[in-house]
Amino acid sequence: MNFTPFDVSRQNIDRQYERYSAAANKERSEELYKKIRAAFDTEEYAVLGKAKANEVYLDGTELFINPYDIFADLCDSDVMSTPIRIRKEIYSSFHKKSGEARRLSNIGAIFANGDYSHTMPDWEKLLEVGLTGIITEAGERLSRCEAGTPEAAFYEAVKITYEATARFALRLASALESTEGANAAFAKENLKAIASRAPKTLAEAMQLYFIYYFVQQKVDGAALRSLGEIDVLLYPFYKSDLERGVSEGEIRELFRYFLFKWNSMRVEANIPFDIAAEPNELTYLILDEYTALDVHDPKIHVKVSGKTPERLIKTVFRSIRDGKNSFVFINDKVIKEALVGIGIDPADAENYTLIGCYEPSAVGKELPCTVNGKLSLPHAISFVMQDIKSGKIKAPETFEDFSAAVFANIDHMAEVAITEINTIEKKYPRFMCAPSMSGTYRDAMERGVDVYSGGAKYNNSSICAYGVATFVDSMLAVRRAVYEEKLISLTSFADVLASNWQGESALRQKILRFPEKYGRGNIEADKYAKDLVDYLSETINGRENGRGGVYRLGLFSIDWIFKSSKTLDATPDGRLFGEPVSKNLCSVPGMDKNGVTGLMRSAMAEDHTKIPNGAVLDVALHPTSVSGDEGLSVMHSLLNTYFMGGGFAIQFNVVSPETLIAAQNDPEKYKNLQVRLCGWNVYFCDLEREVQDNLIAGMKNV
Amino acid sequence: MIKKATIFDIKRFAVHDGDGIRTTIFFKGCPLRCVWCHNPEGLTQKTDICFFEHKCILCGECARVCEKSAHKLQTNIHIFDKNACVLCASCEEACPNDSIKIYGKEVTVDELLPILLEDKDFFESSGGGVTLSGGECLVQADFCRELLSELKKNGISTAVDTSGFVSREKLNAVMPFTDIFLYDLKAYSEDVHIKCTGQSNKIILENLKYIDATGKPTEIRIPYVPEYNDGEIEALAEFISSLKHVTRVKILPYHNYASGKYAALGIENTLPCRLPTDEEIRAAEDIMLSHGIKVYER
Repeated sequence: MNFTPFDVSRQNIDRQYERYSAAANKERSEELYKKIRAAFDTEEYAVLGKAKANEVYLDGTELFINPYDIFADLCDSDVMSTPIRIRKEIYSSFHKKSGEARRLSNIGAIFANGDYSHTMPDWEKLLEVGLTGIITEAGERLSRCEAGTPEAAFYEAVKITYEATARFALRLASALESTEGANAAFAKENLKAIASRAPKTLAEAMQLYFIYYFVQQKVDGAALRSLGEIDVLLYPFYKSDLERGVSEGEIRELFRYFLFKWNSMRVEANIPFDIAAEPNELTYLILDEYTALDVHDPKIHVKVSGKTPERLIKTVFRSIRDGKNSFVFINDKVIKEALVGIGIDPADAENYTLIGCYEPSAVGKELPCTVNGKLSLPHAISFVMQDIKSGKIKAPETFEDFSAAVFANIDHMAEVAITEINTIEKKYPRFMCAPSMSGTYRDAMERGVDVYSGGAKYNNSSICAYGVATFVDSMLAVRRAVYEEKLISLTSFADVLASNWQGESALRQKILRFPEKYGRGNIEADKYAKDLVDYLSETINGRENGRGGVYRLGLFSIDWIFKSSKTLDATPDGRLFGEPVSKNLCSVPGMDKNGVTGLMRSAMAEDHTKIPNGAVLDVALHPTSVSGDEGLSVMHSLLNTYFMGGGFAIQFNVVSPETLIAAQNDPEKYKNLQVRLCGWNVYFCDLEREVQDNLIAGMKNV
Repeated sequence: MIKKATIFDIKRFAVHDGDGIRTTIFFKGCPLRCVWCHNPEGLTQKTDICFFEHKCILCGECARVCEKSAHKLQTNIHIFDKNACVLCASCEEACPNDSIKIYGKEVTVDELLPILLEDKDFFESSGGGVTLSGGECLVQADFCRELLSELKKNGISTAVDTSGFVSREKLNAVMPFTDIFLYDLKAYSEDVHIKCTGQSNKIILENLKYIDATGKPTEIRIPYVPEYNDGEIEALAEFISSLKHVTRVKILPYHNYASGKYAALGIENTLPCRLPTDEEIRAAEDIMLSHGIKVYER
């Protein structure tokens, strides 16, 4: 293989997409948009309109060539937002949020929308048959259809989109013809190859990845959120390359370019990949190269089953400990059970991928739409408090009655979200379709239906609930403070929360010291959390959505905890107005006072097979607690215990000096941060300032 | 009568007190007075109160709840009169920032056991267990025996971290229920040992030989304190190499991070000034290695 060593090209590949964005021409983009929109509007069936628009797009945009890259995909990036713009225009022309959905959304209690962005094609099929294979299949199926039917329109749309994709590859190839340098020549050959047949070499397979990604993500406007198990998907190409005499060094170079190109897109997208629970030699090669690149993207999902070798886990832990922390561990067994729990055939659940952050999906069978809805659980409590304060309801006499009022709010929030999402989803066929992705879904191709119109075998949607720990601690605080110890009446408590604890710091301190907190292995709090998850599972899982599928419950929170905190009153657990609610399966910050094992015990108390849309626990460890070989074993033991205890996913942080500085500024929240001083562990916040400073200084290069 | 012990901390996810993930209980009271002691709150068996001035946010909650007026707040200063304090713990509970700590709590085996069993799954997956430490846990050997025996009944691996400065009787009391001893050696020469700890090391060395003769494994821990015991390494290595069941030796570099605790306890700070360098520690480890002794990998 003849191309420039990666290290020489690296700086010219880094952030290449930003550079091309800056070069885009607004006027020309507007012109192109008009053409694309016109093409879209000519057709009766949206899917065919979409294909015609794709054709205009792929044939008509100006190309930008990066002569330093060995893979090509760049296009006029200013019009990349065109499909989304068109979707929004059509969508807003006929859909208005219901009054209640709008009200609850505005105050941050719920989120309810279409989700077009959490998808993955069936990479295996695409790599096996190539663009041409799908063109042929679509053509054959089209010829067996009656003209003018929706099926015919669909097959034609797939055919048009894939033909335009192949032409786009050839356009890029010819543009590279006049570009100097070995890399351009290399890219050109691979582009020509994938335009005419299925990929045969590793480089061709990688090139196909980029071209396809570009078309689905940018042209079809269906954001793509996983590269799949790349160590398995690319393995046959790796093997055949080796057999035909490609050296391991050359293969490593290819992976450097491949991984780094995904990294260079980090500004606009987060495209993770999985590594298989049963790794092969390519797995280690990829991890090796990834680590050597010293990058934080793409993120990597590490699947762990009983068959995952210690070597793999320790390789990953070593990397995490070195501060290269792009990894999340995924419990293979629990995920398969969770998928089966929402009606996915066990055989289909065997082959899953993690979409986006941690959301499992049956590859090529399920369109999971993992972020349609969100429920901010603490709002359900806040509403009851507000109603008491305003006199709308009388303060419930028993905790059971209080609890019933809170859970009625959760039901209401879920109902409003589901109704809203279903209304939108039923209209998908009019404005959302993705012929590119549909071409890779076997069921969609058999049925002649776009994946967004119900063409997949499973057409599911998802709702995530968040603020679990804040909710649990708050409910138990009300129970003890109001109904058991009678420290305050519920009516007065409602006033206290509305005033953000004004003049009640003693009560607040007392409540913060109540023992029943989630995240410390407290049996009562854990039981409450378990019951809560069971309740949410009953409320969400299996409910019908608007596309012939069902809802999936998730318990992850991403950055939503910061947004909704601005609209949420102070909560009974002692949280002040404006503070974020708890994240993911974590405790309220600082409440995990029994350390990592207590935190894990709380998280393990819930039945994670009832959280098919994903739930993650974040664990912070100090580098000094996990140093040396023994440290790796400690990390491995934590992981094993968590997964044997039924945990869904876990991510570790080996804490940096920055965190220690944050701990100095806010020791309350970092009470449990341990540091190892030579042979002993001590609590960081108990140390004198001078000692803390010294430690931080000593860790400067950690 | 139900046996009780005084402890000053329980630390979960302890990863440096024996193999795997452990829960360590710190017993209060110690017969030695090592000048470098990093847990001075464990020296006496009586309950101590600590006021960490650097953590105080001057909120006045402690003064509000204290019935003995031991806490007084003036502009920008918090005065704590330890002599007036009756250790009622109400200030500790009231303090929002953990700047007051009471060290010393009486516990029974029945109270401790459920806490120690909480992390059983973690012990099992990591080859860890429970470590009894201190202070000197064997000062309260009867209690330790009962606790260890309960732990063994529950299938928990046990370690006893001891200075060895205890009677043979006490050692024998815990021996059957102890899987491994974490044994501290400070000096081989008696005069050095007296200078460092205030006591002779005769009993300590004899006890270690005795334990070794029974076939019970020990992990030896040597605090390395420049200008105190840094001349002892060779002699200790020779002694250790005569033992048969030492799993490994850990050289623990002396640190002065405990100085804050001395101030908070209001006791005289005896900590030496000079800290060991990395080279010194490595040299000490090399001496151990040259005697064929396994050294803990840092």
